[in-house]
Amino acid sequence: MKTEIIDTIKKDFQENILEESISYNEIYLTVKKESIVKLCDRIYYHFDLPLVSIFATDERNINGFFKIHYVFSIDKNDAFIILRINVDGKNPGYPSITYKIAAANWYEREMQDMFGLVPQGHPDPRRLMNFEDWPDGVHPLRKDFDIRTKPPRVNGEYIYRHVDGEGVYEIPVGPVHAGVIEPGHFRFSVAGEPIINLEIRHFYTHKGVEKLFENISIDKAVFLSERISGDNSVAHAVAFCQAMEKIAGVNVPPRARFIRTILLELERIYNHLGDIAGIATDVAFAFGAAHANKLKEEVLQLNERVTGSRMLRGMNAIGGVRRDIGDKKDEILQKLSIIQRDFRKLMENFTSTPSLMDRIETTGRIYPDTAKGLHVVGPSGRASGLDRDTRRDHPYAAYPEFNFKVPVLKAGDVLSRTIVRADEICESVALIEQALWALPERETRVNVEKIPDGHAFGYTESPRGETIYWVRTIGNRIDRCKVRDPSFCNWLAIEYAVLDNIVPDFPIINKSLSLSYSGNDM
Amino acid sequence: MTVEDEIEIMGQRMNDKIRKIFGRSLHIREVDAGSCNACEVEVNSLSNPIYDIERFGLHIVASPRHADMLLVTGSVTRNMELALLKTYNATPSPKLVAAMGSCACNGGIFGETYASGGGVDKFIPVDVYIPGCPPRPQAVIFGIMVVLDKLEQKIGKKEV
Amino acid sequence: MFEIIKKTLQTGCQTTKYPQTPDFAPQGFRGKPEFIAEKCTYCADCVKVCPAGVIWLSEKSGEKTLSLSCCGCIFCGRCEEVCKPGAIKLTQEYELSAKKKEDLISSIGRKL
Repeated sequence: MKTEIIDTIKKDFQENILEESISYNEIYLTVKKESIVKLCDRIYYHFDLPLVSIFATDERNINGFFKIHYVFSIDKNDAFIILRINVDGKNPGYPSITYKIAAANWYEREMQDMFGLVPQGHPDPRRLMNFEDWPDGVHPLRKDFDIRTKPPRVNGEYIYRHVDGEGVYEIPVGPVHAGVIEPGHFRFSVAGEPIINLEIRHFYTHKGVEKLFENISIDKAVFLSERISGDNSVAHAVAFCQAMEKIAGVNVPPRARFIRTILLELERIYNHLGDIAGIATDVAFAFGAAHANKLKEEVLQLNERVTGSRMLRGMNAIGGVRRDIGDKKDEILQKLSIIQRDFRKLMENFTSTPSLMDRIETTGRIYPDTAKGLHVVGPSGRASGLDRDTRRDHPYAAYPEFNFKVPVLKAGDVLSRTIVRADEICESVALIEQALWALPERETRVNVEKIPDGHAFGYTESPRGETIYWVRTIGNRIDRCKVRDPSFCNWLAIEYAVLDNIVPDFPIINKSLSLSYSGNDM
Repeated sequence: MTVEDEIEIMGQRMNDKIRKIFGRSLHIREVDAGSCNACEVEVNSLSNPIYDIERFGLHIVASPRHADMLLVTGSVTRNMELALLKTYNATPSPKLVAAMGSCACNGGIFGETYASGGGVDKFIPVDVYIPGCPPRPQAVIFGIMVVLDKLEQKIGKKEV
Repeated sequence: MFEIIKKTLQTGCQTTKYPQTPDFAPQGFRGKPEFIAEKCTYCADCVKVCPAGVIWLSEKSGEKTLSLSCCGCIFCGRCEEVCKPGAIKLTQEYELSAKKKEDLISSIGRKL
């Protein structure tokens, strides 16, 4: 891979690079631990590359080190640049980059809990994934931790951020909420109605997925990836399969790539319809909610007829897809055209209802610089002016062969997020039509018996945004699988989006950001 | 007739009564104890215009204190265990518990690990298991009918 | 407002008749897995691939028993995929709820 930006970076970093390797579109640079803050800062601000993930691997049994990977995306060249540092296994401290790059906050706290790597100088070194009743010094993702261990509960305390002042009240909400949503804790500090601070606390649904990946065989892992975030099943499964296919050097048959694209877009349609229905419900616009829910249900029923599962599960496998959907072409086309027509009319009804528009306009603003600083991805990012879409920037499946627009708005309020979603639904319908008309012939799957040793990224644009997998295989087993769900990036944005809004608007803002608790907690 | 028999008969009568009372309406509190959110999508589908469970007098309520039945999804994670028990204790007797989805039934693909509990019945007594990953909304309605012994209504009568 | 009333009237009643009338899952739906006893060779391939681990083979006094519990089954269809003799099929049945876990177990057996 020859690109200007990589050459410049390499020249820039010369004396700090210990080792470099390139595989596929991934450039790995092992650098000196002491220089990491400077180098990340330079890449992030000077070269203006977004930080898409940070993760650690435990290689103590090989070389006595933990390795930390800082992943930056080069959108222009469809490449990733990964800075790696070695952290001594016996003295696991490393310099934190959070005070320079806010987007690194949760990653570093996650690694602190899961690997026991201490980010020195982190502004908020509290626990994240392990709760206060988790014993000290036990770190689940270390290789010497057995997945079946049940550490005893210990006494501990979690200290929330505290706002003091006359007339300031705290409202704790959760983890069991009033609506049918997943568990998470929110703590509002309010003065009257307006919210002056919100602290979110998650990881109630932490199921140990990343550890589980290391303990099951590869063919079962596909099904596990489908169950990381239930309504993003396809996006997760495709990302995982693509990473494995990259390692195995398998070329997925064209028909399978097209079918994957269709499934991914079907998933986007029903998720976006569900979000729009949710926004309508939360502003008590029952008419809109009922109709959007009806449309969503129609897509779910279509999914069931086409794939046998309402959530499009069980369709992906390493090497292709498990079921051909070519014979359902007419049915899909017909149904989608009806849905699109109904949806367009519904959106007209939405925009011509002043009571609805009044609630969602200027509500829950995420300003472009906040969005950029926290690395907000997906429709929420695009509604705040971040022009990023994995389908276009890092093309996969059959996306390079189609035309589609990526809607981008600047306002960053609930209304723009709704409009971005509505536009994306129409784009998705057009994409499915293109894919169905151009569906290539022949097989849908190649058999992959054994996966060689290696590591690779797999990525998709789920309805919520950029989903990234990094998988390393050793001896036909998964040695490490890092999953970065879009919600992991977007959750912190809600703390900024609700500021100066009133408490009753919180559900709308939450819904408009469409955040997955399960994908975040894993 | 021994005392045990009498108690049993009384218990049976009480059960019949509960059924009669619940036959009119059942209030459900959904508790996510660590699911992947697919089950939540389906529970939300239950109240959409297509399935509209309110027509049977089934309401999804906001608090366990208003609920007759807990609809639990997910394999009960370590971090949700306490919240689930608190919710169960807050529910007035007689508390029905439905385990919805494979994770709630016996852990599903997540099984029993350091973080996942491996099924709701390890923590609280379960009255009905609703398998499926996730179960179709119809399967959930069926499950609720099983717990209420409303099956004969489905087969016999045309209209409830 | 007029538009909304118009649309509501046009849409009409959408509610399903279930459970008064039965609702059949579509063709290709992955429902309850069922054994076809006469085809089974008790090779335990399905036991090995089951992601949820709900199929198990037991042997007691010369009789092999293959059991499957729907309780915990994720309906992925891997067992059907790997079964060479085609002795396991996913049916369209989805009304599986039971009050006891044992009611969800189906088994086949053969004397050796």
